[in-house]
Amino acid sequence: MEVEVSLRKRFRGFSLELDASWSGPALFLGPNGSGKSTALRCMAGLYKCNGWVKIGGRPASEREFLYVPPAPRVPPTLTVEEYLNHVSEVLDVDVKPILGVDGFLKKRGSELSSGMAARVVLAAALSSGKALLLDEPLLYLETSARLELVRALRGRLFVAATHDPSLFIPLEPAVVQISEGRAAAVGSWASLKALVLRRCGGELCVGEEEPKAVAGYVA
Amino acid sequence: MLRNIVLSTLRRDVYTKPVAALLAVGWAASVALASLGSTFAAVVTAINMLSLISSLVAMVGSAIFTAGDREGLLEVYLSGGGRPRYAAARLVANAVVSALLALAVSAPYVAVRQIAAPLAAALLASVPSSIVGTVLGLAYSNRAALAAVVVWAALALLYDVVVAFLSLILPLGDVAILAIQLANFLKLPSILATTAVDPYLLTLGPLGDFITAHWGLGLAQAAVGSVYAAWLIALVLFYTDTARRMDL
Repeated sequence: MEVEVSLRKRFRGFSLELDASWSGPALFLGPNGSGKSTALRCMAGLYKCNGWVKIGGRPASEREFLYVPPAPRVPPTLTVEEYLNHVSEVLDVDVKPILGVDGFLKKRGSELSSGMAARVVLAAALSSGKALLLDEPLLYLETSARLELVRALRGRLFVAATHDPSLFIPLEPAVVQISEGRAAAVGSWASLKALVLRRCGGELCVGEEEPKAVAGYVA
Repeated sequence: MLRNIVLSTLRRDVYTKPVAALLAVGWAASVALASLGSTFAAVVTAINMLSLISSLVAMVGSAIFTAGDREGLLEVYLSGGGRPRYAAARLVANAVVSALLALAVSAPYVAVRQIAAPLAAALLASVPSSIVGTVLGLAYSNRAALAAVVVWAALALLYDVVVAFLSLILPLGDVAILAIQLANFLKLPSILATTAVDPYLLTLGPLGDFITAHWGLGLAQAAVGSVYAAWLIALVLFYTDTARRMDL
Protein backbone atom coordinates (compact mmCIF):
# COMPACT_ATOMS: atom_id res chain seq x y z
CA MET A 1 0.00 0.00 0.00
CA GLU A 2 1.55 3.26 -1.15
CA VAL A 3 1.63 6.03 1.44
CA GLU A 4 2.39 9.63 0.50
CA VAL A 5 2.68 12.54 2.89
CA SER A 6 3.20 16.23 2.36
CA LEU A 7 2.98 17.94 5.73
CA ARG A 8 3.71 21.47 6.87
CA LYS A 9 3.72 22.65 10.44
CA ARG A 10 5.40 25.67 11.92
CA PHE A 11 6.30 26.15 15.57
CA ARG A 12 8.45 28.80 17.12
CA GLY A 13 11.99 27.70 16.25
CA PHE A 14 10.95 24.62 14.31
CA SER A 15 9.35 23.96 11.00
CA LEU A 16 8.15 20.62 9.61
CA GLU A 17 8.23 20.36 5.83
CA LEU A 18 7.94 16.66 5.22
CA ASP A 19 7.47 15.28 1.72
CA ALA A 20 7.88 11.54 1.40
CA SER A 21 6.32 8.44 -0.07
CA TRP A 22 6.86 4.80 0.68
CA SER A 23 5.17 1.47 0.36
CA GLY A 24 3.83 -0.57 3.28
CA PRO A 25 4.93 -0.09 6.88
CA ALA A 26 7.56 2.51 7.63
CA LEU A 27 9.92 3.65 10.32
CA PHE A 28 10.58 7.31 10.98
CA LEU A 29 14.17 7.65 12.13
CA GLY A 30 16.05 10.72 13.21
CA PRO A 31 17.56 12.48 16.19
CA ASN A 32 15.53 14.01 19.01
CA GLY A 33 13.68 17.09 17.85
CA SER A 34 13.87 16.18 14.18
CA GLY A 35 10.08 16.14 13.74
CA LYS A 36 9.18 12.44 13.85
CA SER A 37 6.48 12.80 16.50
CA THR A 38 5.21 16.04 14.97
CA ALA A 39 4.74 14.26 11.66
CA LEU A 40 2.83 11.42 13.32
CA ARG A 41 0.66 13.89 15.24
CA CYS A 42 -0.13 15.73 12.01
CA MET A 43 -1.18 12.46 10.39
CA ALA A 44 -3.32 11.57 13.43
CA GLY A 45 -5.13 14.92 13.39
CA LEU A 46 -3.85 15.91 16.83
CA TYR A 47 -1.98 18.81 15.27
CA LYS A 48 -3.54 21.05 12.68
CA CYS A 49 -1.08 20.96 9.82
CA ASN A 50 -1.13 22.06 6.23
CA GLY A 51 -0.66 19.49 3.50
CA TRP A 52 -2.10 16.06 2.89
CA VAL A 53 -1.75 12.35 3.48
CA LYS A 54 -2.66 9.76 0.87
CA ILE A 55 -3.02 6.01 1.19
CA GLY A 56 -3.20 4.06 -2.05
CA GLY A 57 -3.44 7.30 -3.98
CA ARG A 58 -6.53 8.62 -2.25
CA PRO A 59 -6.64 11.27 0.49
CA ALA A 60 -6.66 9.84 4.00
CA SER A 61 -8.24 11.55 7.01
CA GLU A 62 -7.36 11.16 10.68
CA ARG A 63 -10.10 8.53 10.95
CA GLU A 64 -7.93 6.08 9.02
CA PHE A 65 -5.13 6.27 11.59
CA LEU A 66 -4.80 5.54 15.27
CA TYR A 67 -1.98 7.27 17.12
CA VAL A 68 -0.27 5.68 20.10
CA PRO A 69 1.75 8.23 22.09
CA PRO A 70 5.23 7.51 23.46
CA ALA A 71 3.95 7.36 27.04
CA PRO A 72 0.48 5.78 26.67
CA ARG A 73 -1.93 6.36 29.53
CA VAL A 74 -5.12 4.75 30.68
CA PRO A 75 -7.64 7.02 32.46
CA PRO A 76 -6.72 6.66 36.15
CA THR A 77 -10.28 6.11 37.36
CA LEU A 78 -11.20 3.44 34.80
CA THR A 79 -10.26 -0.22 35.05
CA VAL A 80 -8.42 -1.75 32.10
CA GLU A 81 -11.55 -3.72 31.29
CA GLU A 82 -13.71 -0.57 31.27
CA TYR A 83 -11.15 1.22 29.13
CA LEU A 84 -10.96 -1.60 26.59
CA ASN A 85 -14.75 -1.87 26.47
CA HIS A 86 -14.98 1.86 25.87
CA VAL A 87 -12.42 1.70 23.07
CA SER A 88 -14.31 -1.25 21.59
CA GLU A 89 -17.51 0.78 21.49
CA VAL A 90 -15.93 3.92 20.07
CA LEU A 91 -13.98 2.11 17.36
CA ASP A 92 -16.60 -0.59 16.88
CA VAL A 93 -14.06 -3.40 17.23
CA ASP A 94 -13.61 -6.38 19.50
CA VAL A 95 -10.45 -5.69 21.50
CA LYS A 96 -8.35 -8.84 21.86
CA PRO A 97 -6.48 -9.42 25.13
CA ILE A 98 -3.03 -9.56 23.57
CA LEU A 99 0.28 -8.40 25.07
CA GLY A 100 -0.76 -10.03 28.34
CA VAL A 101 -3.39 -7.44 29.27
CA ASP A 102 -5.80 -10.15 30.40
CA GLY A 103 -3.62 -10.47 33.50
CA PHE A 104 -4.61 -7.07 34.85
CA LEU A 105 -8.07 -6.32 33.48
CA LYS A 106 -9.40 -5.35 36.92
CA LYS A 107 -6.64 -2.86 37.72
CA ARG A 108 -7.40 0.85 37.44
CA GLY A 109 -5.34 3.15 35.27
CA SER A 110 -3.79 4.71 38.37
CA GLU A 111 -2.50 1.28 39.43
CA LEU A 112 -0.71 0.48 36.19
CA SER A 113 3.00 0.84 35.56
CA SER A 114 4.11 2.68 32.44
CA GLY A 115 4.78 -0.63 30.71
CA MET A 116 1.38 -2.06 31.63
CA ALA A 117 -0.38 1.07 30.38
CA ALA A 118 1.60 0.85 27.14
CA ARG A 119 0.55 -2.77 26.69
CA VAL A 120 -3.12 -1.89 27.26
CA VAL A 121 -3.12 0.98 24.78
CA LEU A 122 -1.15 -1.00 22.22
CA ALA A 123 -3.51 -3.97 22.61
CA ALA A 124 -6.47 -1.69 21.94
CA ALA A 125 -4.72 -0.15 18.94
CA LEU A 126 -3.73 -3.49 17.48
CA SER A 127 -7.33 -4.70 17.69
CA SER A 128 -8.49 -1.90 15.43
CA GLY A 129 -8.21 -2.18 11.70
CA LYS A 130 -6.67 1.28 11.47
CA ALA A 131 -3.25 2.20 10.14
CA LEU A 132 -1.21 2.64 13.30
CA LEU A 133 0.98 5.61 14.11
CA LEU A 134 3.31 4.36 16.83
CA ASP A 135 5.44 6.92 18.65
CA GLU A 136 8.33 5.10 20.33
CA PRO A 137 6.24 1.93 20.75
CA LEU A 138 9.01 -0.10 22.37
CA LEU A 139 9.87 2.44 25.02
CA TYR A 140 8.24 0.89 28.10
CA LEU A 141 7.85 -2.70 26.95
CA GLU A 142 9.69 -5.71 28.30
CA THR A 143 11.46 -7.93 25.79
CA SER A 144 8.71 -10.52 25.41
CA ALA A 145 6.08 -7.83 24.89
CA ARG A 146 8.30 -6.14 22.30
CA LEU A 147 8.55 -9.36 20.33
CA GLU A 148 4.79 -9.96 20.61
CA LEU A 149 4.13 -6.43 19.41
CA VAL A 150 6.33 -6.92 16.36
CA ARG A 151 4.63 -10.23 15.60
CA ALA A 152 1.22 -8.57 15.87
CA LEU A 153 2.31 -5.84 13.48
CA ARG A 154 3.10 -8.31 10.71
CA GLY A 155 0.94 -7.55 7.68
CA ARG A 156 -0.31 -4.28 9.21
CA LEU A 157 0.10 -0.81 7.80
CA PHE A 158 1.94 1.26 10.40
CA VAL A 159 4.39 4.07 10.84
CA ALA A 160 6.65 3.89 13.87
CA ALA A 161 8.89 6.67 15.10
CA THR A 162 11.71 4.94 16.91
CA HIS A 163 15.32 5.09 17.98
CA ASP A 164 15.50 1.31 18.09
CA PRO A 165 14.67 -0.02 14.62
CA SER A 166 16.35 -3.41 14.86
CA LEU A 167 13.30 -5.34 16.10
CA PHE A 168 11.23 -4.15 13.15
CA ILE A 169 13.55 -5.61 10.50
CA PRO A 170 11.54 -8.83 10.01
CA LEU A 171 8.57 -6.67 8.98
CA GLU A 172 10.58 -5.21 6.08
CA PRO A 173 9.60 -1.60 6.69
CA ALA A 174 10.58 1.38 4.60
CA VAL A 175 12.83 3.81 6.42
CA VAL A 176 12.25 7.55 6.33
CA GLN A 177 15.07 9.56 7.81
CA ILE A 178 13.85 12.88 9.13
CA SER A 179 16.30 15.64 9.81
CA GLU A 180 15.33 19.11 10.97
CA GLY A 181 11.75 18.60 9.86
CA ARG A 182 12.54 17.33 6.39
CA ALA A 183 12.77 13.89 4.82
CA ALA A 184 16.51 13.57 4.28
CA ALA A 185 16.25 10.12 2.76
CA VAL A 186 13.87 7.23 2.20
CA GLY A 187 15.48 3.79 2.35
CA SER A 188 14.44 0.17 2.33
CA TRP A 189 14.40 -2.39 5.11
CA ALA A 190 17.37 -4.09 3.49
CA SER A 191 19.43 -0.98 4.01
CA LEU A 192 18.33 -0.93 7.59
CA LYS A 193 19.32 -4.57 8.06
CA ALA A 194 22.85 -3.78 6.90
CA LEU A 195 22.87 -0.86 9.28
CA VAL A 196 21.89 -2.79 12.37
CA LEU A 197 24.47 -5.46 11.77
CA ARG A 198 27.18 -2.85 12.20
CA ARG A 199 26.39 -0.57 15.05
CA CYS A 200 28.69 2.21 16.09
CA GLY A 201 29.87 1.39 19.56
CA GLY A 202 26.59 -0.20 20.50
CA GLU A 203 24.53 2.79 19.37
CA LEU A 204 23.17 3.81 16.00
CA CYS A 205 25.07 6.79 14.63
CA VAL A 206 23.41 9.69 12.92
CA GLY A 207 24.82 12.27 10.60
CA GLU A 208 28.38 11.00 10.33
CA GLU A 209 29.99 11.25 6.96
CA GLU A 210 30.42 7.62 6.02
CA PRO A 211 30.12 6.26 2.50
CA LYS A 212 27.46 3.69 3.42
CA ALA A 213 25.14 5.97 5.34
CA VAL A 214 21.62 4.72 5.04
CA ALA A 215 18.75 6.97 6.03
CA GLY A 216 21.17 8.89 8.14
CA TYR A 217 22.38 5.86 10.08
CA VAL A 218 25.89 4.65 9.35
CA ALA A 219 26.06 1.07 8.13
CA MET B 1 -19.93 8.73 19.99
CA LEU B 2 -21.97 11.22 22.05
CA ARG B 3 -23.43 8.47 24.24
CA ASN B 4 -19.99 6.93 24.72
CA ILE B 5 -18.44 10.24 25.73
CA VAL B 6 -21.27 11.08 28.15
CA LEU B 7 -21.02 7.67 29.83
CA SER B 8 -17.24 7.82 29.89
CA THR B 9 -17.34 11.29 31.48
CA LEU B 10 -19.76 10.13 34.16
CA ARG B 11 -17.67 7.05 34.97
CA ARG B 12 -14.25 8.62 34.57
CA ASP B 13 -14.48 12.18 35.87
CA VAL B 14 -17.52 12.88 38.02
CA TYR B 15 -16.12 10.93 40.97
CA THR B 16 -12.67 12.51 40.80
CA LYS B 17 -11.57 14.62 43.75
CA PRO B 18 -12.00 18.11 42.21
CA VAL B 19 -15.48 17.50 40.85
CA ALA B 20 -16.61 15.62 43.97
CA ALA B 21 -15.29 18.45 46.15
CA LEU B 22 -17.18 21.05 44.11
CA LEU B 23 -20.34 18.97 44.36
CA ALA B 24 -19.96 18.68 48.13
CA VAL B 25 -19.55 22.45 48.46
CA GLY B 26 -22.58 22.91 46.20
CA TRP B 27 -24.71 20.62 48.35
CA ALA B 28 -23.65 22.39 51.53
CA ALA B 29 -24.58 25.75 50.00
CA SER B 30 -27.83 24.35 48.65
CA VAL B 31 -28.88 23.09 52.08
CA ALA B 32 -27.84 26.37 53.69
CA LEU B 33 -29.87 28.34 51.14
CA ALA B 34 -32.90 26.14 51.76
CA SER B 35 -32.58 26.83 55.48
CA LEU B 36 -32.99 30.57 54.81
CA GLY B 37 -36.66 30.02 54.11
CA SER B 38 -39.03 30.94 51.28
CA THR B 39 -39.10 34.68 51.70
CA PHE B 40 -38.63 36.88 48.70
CA ALA B 41 -35.05 37.85 49.56
CA ALA B 42 -34.10 34.27 50.40
CA VAL B 43 -35.31 32.99 47.03
CA VAL B 44 -33.43 35.70 45.13
CA THR B 45 -30.33 34.88 47.15
CA ALA B 46 -30.77 31.20 46.25
CA ILE B 47 -31.10 32.15 42.57
CA ASN B 48 -27.84 34.10 42.63
CA MET B 49 -25.89 31.57 44.70
CA LEU B 50 -27.00 28.40 42.88
CA SER B 51 -26.40 30.11 39.55
CA LEU B 52 -22.87 31.02 40.61
CA ILE B 53 -22.07 27.60 42.06
CA SER B 54 -23.45 25.76 39.04
CA SER B 55 -21.44 27.93 36.68
CA LEU B 56 -18.29 27.16 38.68
CA VAL B 57 -18.99 23.42 38.68
CA ALA B 58 -19.79 23.47 34.96
CA MET B 59 -16.74 25.50 33.95
CA VAL B 60 -14.21 23.63 36.06
CA GLY B 61 -15.84 20.28 35.36
CA SER B 62 -15.93 20.78 31.59
CA ALA B 63 -12.29 21.86 31.59
CA ILE B 64 -11.37 18.70 33.51
CA PHE B 65 -13.52 16.46 31.30
CA THR B 66 -11.98 17.82 28.10
CA ALA B 67 -8.38 17.84 29.32
CA GLY B 68 -8.92 14.34 30.73
CA ASP B 69 -9.47 12.98 27.22
CA ARG B 70 -5.72 13.30 26.74
CA GLU B 71 -5.24 10.40 29.14
CA GLY B 72 -5.63 7.61 26.63
CA LEU B 73 -8.88 8.53 24.89
CA LEU B 74 -8.36 11.55 22.65
CA GLU B 75 -6.53 9.53 19.99
CA VAL B 76 -9.30 6.94 20.05
CA TYR B 77 -12.03 9.58 19.68
CA LEU B 78 -10.21 11.25 16.77
CA SER B 79 -9.75 7.92 15.06
CA GLY B 80 -13.32 6.86 15.75
CA GLY B 81 -15.09 9.98 14.57
CA GLY B 82 -12.64 12.59 13.34
CA ARG B 83 -12.03 16.02 14.82
CA PRO B 84 -15.38 17.70 13.97
CA ARG B 85 -17.46 14.87 15.44
CA TYR B 86 -15.28 14.63 18.51
CA ALA B 87 -15.48 18.39 19.09
CA ALA B 88 -19.26 18.40 18.73
CA ALA B 89 -19.74 15.32 20.90
CA ARG B 90 -17.44 16.65 23.62
CA LEU B 91 -19.28 19.99 23.67
CA VAL B 92 -22.71 18.40 23.96
CA ALA B 93 -21.50 15.81 26.48
CA ASN B 94 -20.03 18.53 28.68
CA ALA B 95 -23.27 20.54 28.50
CA VAL B 96 -25.33 17.47 29.41
CA VAL B 97 -23.09 16.43 32.31
CA SER B 98 -22.84 20.02 33.53
CA ALA B 99 -26.63 20.31 33.51
CA LEU B 100 -26.84 17.05 35.49
CA LEU B 101 -24.33 18.43 37.99
CA ALA B 102 -26.34 21.68 38.26
CA LEU B 103 -29.41 19.56 38.89
CA ALA B 104 -27.54 17.63 41.58
CA VAL B 105 -26.31 20.83 43.24
CA SER B 106 -29.81 22.32 43.29
CA ALA B 107 -31.56 19.12 44.33
CA PRO B 108 -31.40 19.70 48.13
CA TYR B 109 -32.83 23.21 47.76
CA VAL B 110 -35.61 22.10 45.42
CA ALA B 111 -36.42 19.10 47.60
CA VAL B 112 -36.84 21.29 50.69
CA ARG B 113 -38.36 24.47 49.22
CA GLN B 114 -39.97 23.19 46.00
CA ILE B 115 -39.29 26.46 44.19
CA ALA B 116 -38.13 26.05 40.59
CA ALA B 117 -36.57 29.44 39.82
CA PRO B 118 -33.17 28.76 41.48
CA LEU B 119 -32.98 25.42 39.66
CA ALA B 120 -33.75 27.15 36.35
CA ALA B 121 -31.03 29.71 37.02
CA ALA B 122 -28.55 26.94 37.83
CA LEU B 123 -29.37 25.04 34.64
CA LEU B 124 -29.20 28.17 32.49
CA ALA B 125 -25.86 29.13 34.04
CA SER B 126 -24.36 25.69 33.48
CA VAL B 127 -24.65 25.68 29.68
CA PRO B 128 -22.53 28.71 28.67
CA SER B 129 -20.11 27.93 31.49
CA SER B 130 -19.61 24.42 30.16
CA ILE B 131 -18.79 25.83 26.70
CA VAL B 132 -16.13 28.12 28.17
CA GLY B 133 -14.78 25.24 30.26
CA THR B 134 -14.55 23.05 27.16
CA VAL B 135 -12.54 25.70 25.33
CA LEU B 136 -10.19 25.93 28.31
CA GLY B 137 -9.86 22.15 28.39
CA LEU B 138 -8.76 22.19 24.76
CA ALA B 139 -6.32 25.03 25.35
CA TYR B 140 -4.72 23.74 28.54
CA SER B 141 -3.80 20.16 29.27
CA ASN B 142 -2.28 20.24 32.75
CA ARG B 143 -3.74 23.45 34.16
CA ALA B 144 -7.21 23.39 32.67
CA ALA B 145 -8.96 23.37 36.04
CA LEU B 146 -6.86 26.25 37.34
CA ALA B 147 -7.54 28.25 34.16
CA ALA B 148 -11.26 27.60 34.61
CA VAL B 149 -11.21 28.83 38.22
CA VAL B 150 -9.37 32.00 37.15
CA VAL B 151 -11.80 32.72 34.29
CA TRP B 152 -14.82 32.00 36.50
CA ALA B 153 -13.49 34.26 39.26
CA ALA B 154 -12.90 37.04 36.73
CA LEU B 155 -16.39 36.76 35.26
CA ALA B 156 -18.37 36.03 38.39
CA LEU B 157 -16.54 37.95 41.11
CA LEU B 158 -14.00 40.40 39.76
CA TYR B 159 -16.47 41.70 37.19
CA ASP B 160 -18.80 43.04 39.88
CA VAL B 161 -15.93 44.63 41.77
CA VAL B 162 -14.71 46.39 38.63
CA VAL B 163 -18.24 47.57 37.77
CA ALA B 164 -18.76 48.86 41.31
CA PHE B 165 -15.43 50.67 41.17
CA LEU B 166 -16.22 52.16 37.76
CA SER B 167 -19.60 53.37 38.95
CA LEU B 168 -17.84 55.27 41.72
CA ILE B 169 -15.52 57.16 39.42
CA LEU B 170 -17.65 57.35 36.26
CA PRO B 171 -21.19 58.68 35.90
CA LEU B 172 -22.70 55.41 34.65
CA GLY B 173 -26.37 55.77 33.78
CA ASP B 174 -29.05 53.08 33.95
CA VAL B 175 -28.55 52.12 30.31
CA ALA B 176 -24.81 51.69 30.84
CA ILE B 177 -25.37 49.57 33.95
CA LEU B 178 -27.90 47.43 32.07
CA ALA B 179 -25.48 46.99 29.16
CA ILE B 180 -22.70 45.98 31.55
CA GLN B 181 -24.93 43.37 33.15
CA LEU B 182 -26.05 41.95 29.80
CA ALA B 183 -22.45 41.87 28.56
CA ASN B 184 -21.64 39.14 31.06
CA PHE B 185 -23.27 35.81 30.22
CA LEU B 186 -22.95 34.65 33.83
CA LYS B 187 -25.32 37.42 34.98
CA LEU B 188 -28.10 36.61 32.55
CA PRO B 189 -29.45 33.38 34.11
CA SER B 190 -29.94 34.99 37.52
CA ILE B 191 -31.59 38.09 35.97
CA LEU B 192 -33.92 35.85 33.95
CA ALA B 193 -34.80 33.68 36.94
CA THR B 194 -35.28 36.75 39.13
CA THR B 195 -37.91 38.07 36.72
CA ALA B 196 -39.91 34.91 37.45
CA VAL B 197 -40.14 35.55 41.20
CA ASP B 198 -39.80 39.33 41.30
CA PRO B 199 -42.27 40.80 38.78
CA TYR B 200 -41.38 44.39 39.68
CA LEU B 201 -37.65 43.64 39.72
CA LEU B 202 -37.31 45.33 43.09
CA THR B 203 -34.23 43.28 43.91
CA LEU B 204 -32.38 44.74 40.94
CA GLY B 205 -32.65 48.22 42.42
CA PRO B 206 -32.47 51.19 40.03
CA LEU B 207 -31.79 48.76 37.20
CA GLY B 208 -35.08 47.00 37.91
CA ASP B 209 -36.89 50.36 38.01
CA PHE B 210 -35.40 51.25 34.65
CA ILE B 211 -36.35 47.92 33.03
CA THR B 212 -39.93 47.86 34.32
CA ALA B 213 -40.48 51.53 33.51
CA HIS B 214 -39.15 51.35 29.95
CA TRP B 215 -39.83 47.78 28.85
CA GLY B 216 -42.25 46.08 31.17
CA LEU B 217 -41.68 42.59 32.51
CA GLY B 218 -42.63 40.61 29.38
CA LEU B 219 -40.41 42.58 27.06
CA ALA B 220 -37.58 42.50 29.60
CA GLN B 221 -37.78 38.71 29.80
CA ALA B 222 -37.77 38.43 26.02
CA ALA B 223 -34.84 40.83 25.70
CA VAL B 224 -32.71 39.14 28.34
CA GLY B 225 -33.62 35.72 26.91
CA SER B 226 -32.57 36.88 23.47
CA VAL B 227 -29.26 38.17 24.77
CA TYR B 228 -28.72 34.83 26.54
CA ALA B 229 -29.44 32.96 23.29
CA ALA B 230 -27.10 35.27 21.39
CA TRP B 231 -24.38 34.58 23.95
CA LEU B 232 -24.87 30.83 23.52
CA ILE B 233 -24.59 31.10 19.75
CA ALA B 234 -21.48 33.28 20.01
CA LEU B 235 -19.82 30.89 22.46
CA VAL B 236 -20.61 27.86 20.30
CA LEU B 237 -19.16 29.62 17.24
CA PHE B 238 -16.05 30.59 19.20
CA TYR B 239 -15.66 27.01 20.43
CA THR B 240 -16.15 25.60 16.93
CA ASP B 241 -13.46 27.85 15.52
CA THR B 242 -11.10 27.04 18.39
CA ALA B 243 -11.64 23.30 18.06
CA ARG B 244 -11.08 23.49 14.31
CA ARG B 245 -7.77 25.33 14.51
CA MET B 246 -6.14 24.31 17.78
CA ASP B 247 -3.49 21.64 18.26
CA LEU B 248 -4.93 19.07 20.63
